Amino acid sequence: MRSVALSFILFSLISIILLPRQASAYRIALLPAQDLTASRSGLDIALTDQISEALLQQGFEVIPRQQIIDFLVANSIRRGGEIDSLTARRMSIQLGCEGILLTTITEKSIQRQPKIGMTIILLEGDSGEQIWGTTICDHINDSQPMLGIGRLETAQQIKQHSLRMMAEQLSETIVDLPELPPALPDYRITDIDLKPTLVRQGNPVFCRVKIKFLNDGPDYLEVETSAGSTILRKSRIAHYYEGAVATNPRDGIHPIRLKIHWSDGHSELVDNLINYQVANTPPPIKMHVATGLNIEETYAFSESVVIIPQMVEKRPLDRWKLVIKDREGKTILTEGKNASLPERLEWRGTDAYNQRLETGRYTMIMQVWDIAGNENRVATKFYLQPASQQMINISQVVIEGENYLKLLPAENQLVPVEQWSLQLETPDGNSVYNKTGWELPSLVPIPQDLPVDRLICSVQSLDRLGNNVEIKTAEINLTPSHDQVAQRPRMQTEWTADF
Amino acid sequence: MMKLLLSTIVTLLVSACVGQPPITTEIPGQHQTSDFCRITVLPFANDSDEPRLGLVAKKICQTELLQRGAQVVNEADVRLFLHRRQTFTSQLTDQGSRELYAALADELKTKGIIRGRILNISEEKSQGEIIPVVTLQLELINAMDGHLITSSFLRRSGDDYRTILHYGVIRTQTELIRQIIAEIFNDWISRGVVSCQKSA
Repeated sequence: MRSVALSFILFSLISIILLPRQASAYRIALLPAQDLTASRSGLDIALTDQISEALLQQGFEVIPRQQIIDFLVANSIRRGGEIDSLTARRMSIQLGCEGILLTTITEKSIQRQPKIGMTIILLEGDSGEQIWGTTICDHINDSQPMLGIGRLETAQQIKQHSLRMMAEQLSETIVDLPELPPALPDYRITDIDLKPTLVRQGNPVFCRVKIKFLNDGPDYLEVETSAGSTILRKSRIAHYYEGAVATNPRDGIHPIRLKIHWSDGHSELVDNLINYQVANTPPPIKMHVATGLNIEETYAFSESVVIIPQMVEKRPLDRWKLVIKDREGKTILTEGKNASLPERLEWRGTDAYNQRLETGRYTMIMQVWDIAGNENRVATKFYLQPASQQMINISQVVIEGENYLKLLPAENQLVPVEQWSLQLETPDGNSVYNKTGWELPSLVPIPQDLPVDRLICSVQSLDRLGNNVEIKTAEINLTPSHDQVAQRPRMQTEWTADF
Repeated sequence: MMKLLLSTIVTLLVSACVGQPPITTEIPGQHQTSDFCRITVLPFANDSDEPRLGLVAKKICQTELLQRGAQVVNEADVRLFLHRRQTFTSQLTDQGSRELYAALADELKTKGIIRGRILNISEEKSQGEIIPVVTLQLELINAMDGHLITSSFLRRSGDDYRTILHYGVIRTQTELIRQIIAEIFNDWISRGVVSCQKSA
């Protein structure tokens, strides 16, 4: 008798396990339908009610809406697309449902030519995995029955038809749907914050982990580095654990591992939770001068110079400071920010008050600090030469009774003259002599037997920065008695900043 | 008489299908096709003017995979993966690095990644009706090494499916996208680039 009873119980149990799923026994949590035709966060509650109705007609049990809303609010979930597999499993446990139905309206028109398009995805409660999905579409013109009998006429009829089709399809397939084991573990790390991500000389980092568990949390969480381990304390904010973590003093990128210690004694290891970086050297920085003329490691410019600061190796920066000093070491401009380096810098040869600076040599010093506190500075030398700067000094000399014009580069001139053109003309404006040269200094013989004793000399010079300056001298006396410096009554400049 | 009617219908049906352009599918390398039982669908890139079409196409793609019995990674799990790494979706869809794909494969236990792009969506007028036209590209990537397994490109009009009179025409964007994705999946399956050997 006992064996008969036992057999009956065993048979009943096996029958329950092997019995196919039936719509009538299937409890569904129906999430508010996401309406992508309205906005990314749009919801269609009226359609959700109609889906619920269609499901009920097929014999499904639908979880009351308020319970679902309460769950979504408690878990800060705005739409169905935010239900991850762990949340789906937690939802299933808390609401006592077997599946979670996510509906998304992809297309909708209720005016002329009504139509509807939607996707429906079913998440299995036990595993949180997607186990079924369908795309349903209906257009008023799709409905073309013979003789027009039963033709769908309104948007409402189209909607109801689509939902009925969906519910019937789900009801038919629910018995054959697979029961999947959970693919992902019973916890989910949703956020990790590490401050700072770069340290030096074994300074600790502060680690904050947001982790959710399917059921009760573990005994404790431990984070490990090659320098030691730390047990994280539970934060006042739900799901957060935090603590200071010892770091390896060696340069490089090092991993942090998380160990979850469960109450039953077993533990799980999460490798490569996050990495931290150790740097004990100054942040390597390079100043690439994109414009200007490099002359003996000094960058000459006239209008402006473009500098591209570059980090030679990737390192998060805390701040940078730029200082420009003149030849005497006096600071004339300071700039800086608590941020990473700017993509490019442009200096227009001005001071802190935006006043144009004089010709001369300047030094730009870029100072950077990484977030670990390592500091570095790079100095770049510049030579500012205004476009109107006189490049050539002209003087008249007499050598062995012959008249010459002596062309010398201007004093302290750094940028070489590339080409010069000399023209002599009579006071009436008649050109009597022209000469072009490429080298300085240069001695230009003044032709003899000129019909006049006095000449006007003008020299046009072009330097390697592209500056074009014209110098017009006063009259040159051709009396061969003495050397004299050619006079400059006025200077006309015709310059081109760039060419 | 009956035979004549039947042959006319068949001829009309066949002639309606003949006009469809073929799928352009590329299989770049001889990568050994792994079992792609568990697949991740990334949000589709969207070159059209309709802002949420990429999201729509991703969801349709998921449902098509589910209809074929594939296991599809929960989209919110992908979102959490990216959030944890402070990575934008575009970093995964446009320029996904080998390391990032490998991390995704490891963490979400997936082998195949599908990424798509809506290249164009427009409408055309046919027999007094507004019919959608969609151009779409779909790629399958091996998540373990980031290699492209296959890539398909297909442009379809809802009118391509007209059989007789007004029958067969696809009038909604959603259905046309679904149809294109279904055709590409069928092409991949017939070429043997996708398979799933489920353990007994």
